[in-house]
Amino acid sequence: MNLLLVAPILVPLLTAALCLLAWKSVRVQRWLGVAGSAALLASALALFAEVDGRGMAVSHAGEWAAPFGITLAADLLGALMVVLGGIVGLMVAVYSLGSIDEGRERFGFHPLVQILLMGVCGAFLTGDLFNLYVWFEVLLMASFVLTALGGERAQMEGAIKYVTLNLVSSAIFLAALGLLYGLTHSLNMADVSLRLARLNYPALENLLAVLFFIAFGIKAAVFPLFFWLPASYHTMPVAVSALFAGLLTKVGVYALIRVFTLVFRDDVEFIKELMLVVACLTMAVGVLGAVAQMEMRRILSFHIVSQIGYMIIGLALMTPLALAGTVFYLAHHIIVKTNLFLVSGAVARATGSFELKKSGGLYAAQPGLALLFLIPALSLAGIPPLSGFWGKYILVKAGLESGQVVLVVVALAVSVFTMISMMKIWSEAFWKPHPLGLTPAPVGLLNGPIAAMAAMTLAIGFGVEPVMQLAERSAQQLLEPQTYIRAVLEARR
Amino acid sequence: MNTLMALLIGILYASGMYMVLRRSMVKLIIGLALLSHAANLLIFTMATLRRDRPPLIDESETALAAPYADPVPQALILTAIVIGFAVSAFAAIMIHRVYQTTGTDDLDQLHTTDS
Amino acid sequence: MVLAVIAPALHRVAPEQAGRVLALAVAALFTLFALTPHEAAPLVYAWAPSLDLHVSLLFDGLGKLMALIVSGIGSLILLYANGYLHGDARLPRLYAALLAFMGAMLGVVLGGNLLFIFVCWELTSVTSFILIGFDHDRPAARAAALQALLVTGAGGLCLLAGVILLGVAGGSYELVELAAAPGLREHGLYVPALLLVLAGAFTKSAQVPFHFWLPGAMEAPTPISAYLHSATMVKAGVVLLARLNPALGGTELWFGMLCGFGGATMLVGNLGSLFQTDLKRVLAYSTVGMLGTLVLLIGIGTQAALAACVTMLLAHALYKGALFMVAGGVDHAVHTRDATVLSGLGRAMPITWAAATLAALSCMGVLPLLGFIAKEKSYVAALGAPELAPWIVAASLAANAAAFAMAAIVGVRPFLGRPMEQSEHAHEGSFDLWLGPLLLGVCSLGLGVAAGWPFAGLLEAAAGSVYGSEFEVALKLWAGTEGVYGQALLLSGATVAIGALLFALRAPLRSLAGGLRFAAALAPQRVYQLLYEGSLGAAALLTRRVQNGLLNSYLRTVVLALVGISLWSLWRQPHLMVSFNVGEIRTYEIGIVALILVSCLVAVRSESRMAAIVALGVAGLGVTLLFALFSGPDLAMTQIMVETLTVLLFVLVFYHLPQYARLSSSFERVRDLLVSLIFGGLMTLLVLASSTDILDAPLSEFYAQNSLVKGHGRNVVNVILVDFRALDTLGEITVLAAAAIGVVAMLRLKPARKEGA
Repeated sequence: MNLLLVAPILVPLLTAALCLLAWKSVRVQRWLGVAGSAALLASALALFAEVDGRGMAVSHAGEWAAPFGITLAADLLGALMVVLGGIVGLMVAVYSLGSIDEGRERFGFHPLVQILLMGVCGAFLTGDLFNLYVWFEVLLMASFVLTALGGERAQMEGAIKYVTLNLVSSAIFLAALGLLYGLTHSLNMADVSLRLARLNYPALENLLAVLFFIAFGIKAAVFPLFFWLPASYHTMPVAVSALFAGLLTKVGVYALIRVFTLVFRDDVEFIKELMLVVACLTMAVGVLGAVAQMEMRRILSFHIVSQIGYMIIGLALMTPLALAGTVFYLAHHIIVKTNLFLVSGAVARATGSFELKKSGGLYAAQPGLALLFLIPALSLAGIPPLSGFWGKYILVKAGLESGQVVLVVVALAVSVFTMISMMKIWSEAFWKPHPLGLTPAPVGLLNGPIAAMAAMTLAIGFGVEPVMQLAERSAQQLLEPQTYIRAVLEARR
Repeated sequence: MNTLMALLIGILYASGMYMVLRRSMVKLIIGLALLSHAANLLIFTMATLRRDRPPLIDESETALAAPYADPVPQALILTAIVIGFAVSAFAAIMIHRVYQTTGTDDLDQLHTTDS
Repeated sequence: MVLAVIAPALHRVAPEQAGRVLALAVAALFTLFALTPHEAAPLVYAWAPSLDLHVSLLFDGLGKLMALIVSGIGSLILLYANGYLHGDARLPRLYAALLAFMGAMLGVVLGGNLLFIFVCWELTSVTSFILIGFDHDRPAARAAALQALLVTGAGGLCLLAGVILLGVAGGSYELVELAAAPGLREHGLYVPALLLVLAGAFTKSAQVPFHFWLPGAMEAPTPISAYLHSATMVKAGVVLLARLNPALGGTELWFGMLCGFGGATMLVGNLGSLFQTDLKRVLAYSTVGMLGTLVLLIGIGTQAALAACVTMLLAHALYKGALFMVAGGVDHAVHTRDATVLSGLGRAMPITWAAATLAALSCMGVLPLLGFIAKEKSYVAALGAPELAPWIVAASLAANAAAFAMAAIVGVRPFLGRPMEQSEHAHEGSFDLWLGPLLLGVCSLGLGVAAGWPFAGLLEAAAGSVYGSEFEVALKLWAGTEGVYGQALLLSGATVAIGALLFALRAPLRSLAGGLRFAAALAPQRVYQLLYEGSLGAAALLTRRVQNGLLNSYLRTVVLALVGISLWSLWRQPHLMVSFNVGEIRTYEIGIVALILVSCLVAVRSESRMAAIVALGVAGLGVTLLFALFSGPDLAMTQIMVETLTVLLFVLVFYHLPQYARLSSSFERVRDLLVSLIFGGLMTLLVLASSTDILDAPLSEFYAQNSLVKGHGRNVVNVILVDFRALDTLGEITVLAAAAIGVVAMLRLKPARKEGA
């Protein structure tokens, strides 16, 4: 059994267990949270190094060979996602030291974050469809509790929508799993893929693909399934929404990528057409939602939706460049979006409100924070040479090479609107004098993770070459699933 | 029997979905419970339905003698039932809490935060 | 080199009195540029080869000329800013932004790789945004900054698409390779690529109808206007066109687009400037006009036109930069920029006056200043245009005459005549404020008298790099009266005459044009406003409809999406095999199914919550019985336990909730029923289609064989759970734990400030 693959699941589990043991002492839990997240990041990096060198890492839980046991498998995409999960986990853990109220901490905030991370990493690493369902439930359950924890009115309104829509998603996922098992008598993704190919039954396969698309699409928040996201993200504490914004929808996107590059491959045209429509509408509707808002976290929430649309482009085109763009965009987005939510918390802390109309004066009072906002904001808007530009550039180029003019026009127009709403935040919260004439308060510790993530954004922007090469190799793997299948089915321990 | 089960599952899904689409939170929860029954039965039906052949190995044998009921869906359902219980317990408590905080059971009243 | 400029920008934010030091540093850079000989071969450093991104620097004639303008004027502007905003706490930020801009701008003018140019191009837009909004306390400044950013940003995105298409068509982003690429002009992507690139260049260089952002950008403090929005950034579009001329120029489309838009811009800008009263806006419109002239000249594309273009570029940078700084100096001294009020400042501000006069004369195109040479050359070029020559000449004449009048309004009139009221307090500004304009004015004169020396060779090289190959450029102050030169001289005479007339008529012109001005010059501005507000309004409307806050409409959308996409999929691939396997059914089995159905119906229809919950429990019981009947003893056990617990819990919890009320109308009920039935039907269909035995089932086979031998258990289901698929069980337990935390937290943790409903 390859310990590297299990560690990203076990480390958070262990941390969560320790946190539960230390239920009474919030202080111990805090430091356990930070230490555990750091350990998770370390183990993720170790796994990534292994996968980077060998191309794949496979481990059969309990030594039961595939397809009989549950296989954990990490290709470059999976390993990369685990690393990103570790980064977000660590940043949020540090950030929450200075931002989460003690009430929430006393009722399980720290162990829940760890359980969430465990579910996320499990979902990234598993090679088994039912196991994926279980990890989804783990992370969902943790996220449900985190969403509802605290119980203010707005939060409860958001929570019920979040919980209900995600439960429907799970129900559909479970049904799809059952049907797929009935058809193929297998659960291992690699094995299912081979069996579907043997079956060659596109009519039914496509219908099942639709179920999977709806189930994962709800989690990824694509149009027209995204409603739970803008309904709930702005109602939670910032540390929680940053964690969710960075990771949860991306688990959905990851699952879409995994399933549609590995499992359902008989009628690629169908997937491409579907994804093309979905990508365009998701990008457009999301960004229009964002420009209509005047509250920082709502703006950011709608932008998540819009950018999920960008990530779907890779699946809509299925070319090496487009998939590389998707991988690149995922990496960029997770870091930038998490950071922007963290910044929104700092802004609210400094000016007293998330409402743009009620904040202001930050540029004059805190140029440092202003710069730290500007880096992820401009990156999100796709200004070169920041990370978001390269993601956009790769996807637009891939779209043009495939002759998808509508897609490219939408993508570019969306980036104008993204610019509008980022600059709206800048103009209102930073440039405009504070409406009440207050001088924004310093935010202290919160700046640490924000600065660290801004540095990562800059690093991806200027050091685009290695990241791009990684994305290209990863896309290569995704387009040649035989390698994955062979690695999973032939690996012995 | 398969066909009958398929019909039953369809009706369970339909009534579950209908309940989920109601405005009352209580109905919503009942709907979700019906959906989870439907899903469990669906998985169950995916194995060929056999009467009286439980996947238990006899004392005298070392392996399960054919024909037997496919044990895999049963294992999956077991996991799903337990998870489903955890979820619905949490959801019920949460809905109780939503009612306490907002003072209403009508979901349409809960639209103050979206946009 | 570029990085070397950006680095200090970040460094020097701290020190307070750094303006002069920075100016000196940039001046040193200028000297470095001046001493470096220009050469055609690019300097290449690979940044991201897998994206075809190379930092290649093209220090040819054009590059060197522009680099000198950027660094030279930049150094004077830094000095000027030090005087203009003396003691302002925001000065360090201004320096930082200015230097960052300078670095980006140098990247644009020296870049040899289109993608690299684009990177720097966007950076100039962003720094321009920050700089226009420098006075960020004023809403007008913020709005103008956003407008400039959006117009240039939208153009930038077109440019990006155009650049990518060019890369696809020409196989490279390197300008040098693109120019040598065979058949680029005949390529199918040529037309879209060209149009997109032009959209980028035209927005950046404020061509009609995108010009409106430039006068708006005058919200910025004068040093910024003088530098970005006159001498350098707005030239980026022109420079890009000049750079691309060897690769893309020479086609009908190129000629038509550039001459059409350039000509229109030239007229609108120059004539529009006469209708303005704010000195800075006058200058801004005149800048728009000049940008039009430059684009027009590139469009004409003859050797004479390109020679005129580069000369004009230099002359304009010198005199317009000076005029802006003069306007700022005047504003600084008497706190107004109203051209109708300013008068008689000459005595109080002699040095500024001198600088203004020199710059204005150059702008008027009067002998012996550099502006004269430039204007003569442009007339020669217009006369030699391959097509439409008479029209171009006429337009140029009108534009130059208007420019003449404009220069008189800005550079001459404020200093002559009766001293105005405020002029008693007027005084010469500090050294920082007058050195810049004076130096530039003297340059205009000196370069004119010396016929371009020491720039003659450089201008020749610059024109050559625009043309694609070197050719001779005769820079003479007096070109004689032969042939076209004579005609050009004649035109110059006419320019002066009409210009003087326009200047004399400026007051009636202004009043007469009151209504016209709004129609002609502000129309695009209004279109922008409509577009901006309209799209925001539409977005708000759409969002309120889509994200309406109603959970059941969200759910309905999800179900409809599922059903809709499934139908689409079926329509694409209709060959679904459905097998009906009725087989043997026993009576009690039908009974159980009926029990579930009835309790289902009761749960749905019941008016009482408790009845519904009990019905739900009965349905669960039915499911349990089915499990038990069809060989799932463990399932039945677990199900009955869980079901009991669930029902108990529901009863406890819902006891506190209100009774059912009739919440939805009959229509809604029927609609939802229909949606649900279709969904249920789909699931039935899927179950029937999926429960096949086409493939073997190695999993169950394996478990059947091995659970005792290797898993040491006789209950195969249990062995699967605790051994073969133990990871699932681990997750399951975790879910339980998380739910337990949730339940505890829900029951115990109350919101801090509210007492609960």
